[in-house]
Amino acid sequence: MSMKITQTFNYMKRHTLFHHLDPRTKGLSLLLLSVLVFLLQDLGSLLVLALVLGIIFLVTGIFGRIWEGLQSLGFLFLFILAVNTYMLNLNTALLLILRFAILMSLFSVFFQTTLPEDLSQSLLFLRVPYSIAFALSLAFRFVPTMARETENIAQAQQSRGHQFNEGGMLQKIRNFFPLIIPLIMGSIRRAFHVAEALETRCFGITTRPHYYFPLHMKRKDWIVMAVVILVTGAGIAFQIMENQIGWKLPWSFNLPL
Amino acid sequence: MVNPPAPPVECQNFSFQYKTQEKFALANISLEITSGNLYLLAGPTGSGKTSLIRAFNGLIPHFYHGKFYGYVKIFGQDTIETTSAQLAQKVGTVFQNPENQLFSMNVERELTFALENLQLPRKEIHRRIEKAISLTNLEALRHRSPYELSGGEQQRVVIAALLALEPDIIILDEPLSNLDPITAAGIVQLLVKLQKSEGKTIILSEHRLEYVLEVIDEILVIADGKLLPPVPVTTLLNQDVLYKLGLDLPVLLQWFYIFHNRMKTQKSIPITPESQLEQLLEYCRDEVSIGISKEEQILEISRSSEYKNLPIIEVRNLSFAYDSSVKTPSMIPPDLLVLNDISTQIFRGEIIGIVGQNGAGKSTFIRCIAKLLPTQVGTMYLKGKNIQSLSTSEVSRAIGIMFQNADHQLFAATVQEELEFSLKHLDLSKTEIATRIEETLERLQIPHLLKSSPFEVSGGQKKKISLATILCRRPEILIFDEPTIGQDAKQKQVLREIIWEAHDEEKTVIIVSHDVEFIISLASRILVFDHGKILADDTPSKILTDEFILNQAHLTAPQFWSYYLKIREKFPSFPEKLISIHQLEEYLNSCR
Repeated sequence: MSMKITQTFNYMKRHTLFHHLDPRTKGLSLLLLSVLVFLLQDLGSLLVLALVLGIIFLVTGIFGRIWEGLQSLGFLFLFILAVNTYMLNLNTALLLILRFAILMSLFSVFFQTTLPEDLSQSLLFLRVPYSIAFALSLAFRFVPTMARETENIAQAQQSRGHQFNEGGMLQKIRNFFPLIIPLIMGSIRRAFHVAEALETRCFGITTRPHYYFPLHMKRKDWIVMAVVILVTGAGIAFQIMENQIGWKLPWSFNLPL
Repeated sequence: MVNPPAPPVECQNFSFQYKTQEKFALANISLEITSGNLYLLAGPTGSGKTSLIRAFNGLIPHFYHGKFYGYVKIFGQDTIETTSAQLAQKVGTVFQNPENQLFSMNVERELTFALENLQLPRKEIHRRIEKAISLTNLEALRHRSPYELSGGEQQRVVIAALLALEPDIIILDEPLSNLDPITAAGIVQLLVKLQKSEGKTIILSEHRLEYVLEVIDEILVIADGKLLPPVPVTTLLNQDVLYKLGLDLPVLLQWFYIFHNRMKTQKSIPITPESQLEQLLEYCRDEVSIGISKEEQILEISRSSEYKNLPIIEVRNLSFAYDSSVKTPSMIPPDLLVLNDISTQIFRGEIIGIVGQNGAGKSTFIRCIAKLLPTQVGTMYLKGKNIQSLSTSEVSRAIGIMFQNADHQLFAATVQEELEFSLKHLDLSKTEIATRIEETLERLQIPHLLKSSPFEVSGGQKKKISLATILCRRPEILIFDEPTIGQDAKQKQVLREIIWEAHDEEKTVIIVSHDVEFIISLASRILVFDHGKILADDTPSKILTDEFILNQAHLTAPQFWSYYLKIREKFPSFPEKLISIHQLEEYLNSCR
């Protein structure tokens, strides 16, 4: 399970439309669409948004990974549904689940299609210090390595007869120490090795590297950005109209309480 | 007046003590490296090789602090007065684990990383990375992600990334230990090319001397933080001190050393292939003249026949794919199958070697039989019981895997707690647990470590502790996953003894390794994995003399085999296939 979910947010080398967009375009779109997701108050509008996004992801060919990620969180969705239906009502529960699913898909698309190096480069435009921006891309680079290491440690401990699933709630938490301690110790050791290697690759000589693959906005970036701004703006406008004068979109609906 | 050019590396009375340690890691090192030579830096584990490398590339004193005496100069410049990032343009360093030196999501960017930091102009970056790519033959991999490449490919990428900085000196810290023999030979070839055609000075630290002895110009031996007086390679190979250090020397050299000592001959130990063959022939002639029975004896240690009636593990039609969305591997294309329809029987008391290229399915196979991975297709029987009906922890009572990396297991505050953790599910009484712990530590000669923290001991001791965590459970089947990686001769000998002891106790041992000599010295049977299938299942002498199989498994024939072919031309009555000097010795002794 845990491996699946890291995959959902890991860079995947492909050649889709989203891979060729500038990370700044994707970052801004992510931000605006997230605002929109929280603003929309009715089930109908969220469903339409989910449907449109779903179709776009399907057409561009990145739906598979997202779907796997959503499936692997199935139990969490059920949990949200149960708790919120019980505490509040079914409509709110469905709204929450939809928002959560859409947000997750958006973030998944962003991280699946953006090279960590480009991400850190675009952070430099936001005046984030180079060392922090670089550390972020390094963290992404080591996700698969750490996932493999976690698996190896778990197997090594199982081979000594350890059972991760035995005992009560408290015991189960304690059962993870033999996994977590070697993992932490290993990460500290690894951090040292990575730092050594960085020293010998001239890291730290400058805070403004000359990028060989500089970011640049292309025509499709401007188009995508324009569309996203338009959609978000329209969404906000409709929501205000609905709240102020009760004017409704044709697809707008909520479940009767 | 023109000054002679400064040497690439020069040390004078250099000593260093880490802040956190009580002993000097390096003491009174004085040396001068000659430009354009290929150096081997040899020494047992913990002798100070890595520290010396850190002194050369400036990590000592800029990254690791401590007491620093004397000086280290790189091209005449004192390392104290510069930074390690500046030194990086003169000294390129390849560290032990390539994975920790790769920071990017594709190979091209990996190469540009250091150059971007240097703020070089685009054109210059382009020129340098193209040159580095062509020197290291990385063209086909330039858009791949470094973390998904094999160990040898990663090593190439790291070397290329350093070459892009155009350093004059390249230092490599045990670059070959994780590689199979053929890949290792490829890396050695690359280093020779860089030395010969690019004029680089290369300093190589390595355990496994057999890979490199032929290509090096000079050898620096370090023991206990001190450098032995520099002598030519051939002289050194005839000095007692070298053989007493516990270095992982080629088996033949070790044998010649012992043989000459025993026979009290005045001859020197042969280094070149011709002289080695000549001395071997002479040895055979002497022995044969003593008198040999004409009868050809079959020396093959073929013990497996004795155990035919008792398969302890039986595998039938096992297939496995990592893509967990696949529920029926029969439906997926065969190239995604890591294991493809494997069937085999393993008998009680056997010692089995498993060889094959990286990704051939060896590790997956041992994880499947230990039930660390789910059975997808096929059936497996452990002592006649279907493995499906057993839980992983029940299987682990019978099968213990020694994983490669000791750090993946150790987590407790003391060695005692570490072993108690291993024993907790075995329903033993308190006294029994205590005696088991005592016995296990005694056997590994580390009883004094009982109350020590497993994190504060040396690498060799850590390995022993991780062995203890499995051995104390006394499983009937012991599986070793690449046990010899990074181990020096002494540690390998400990492993051999443990395996022989287990064998004497009728236990079954499975060894996954690229180390042919290690497998020859132990195994009676070898399984060759290739693309998820068992390509061959036979005795070591059949497998390790078969060109096709060796190629598929990325192995090289034992050095001795090429000599033996020539020996047999002279002595046609000798058995057809002897693959180690020890087998020849045994044969000749038995003929007396």
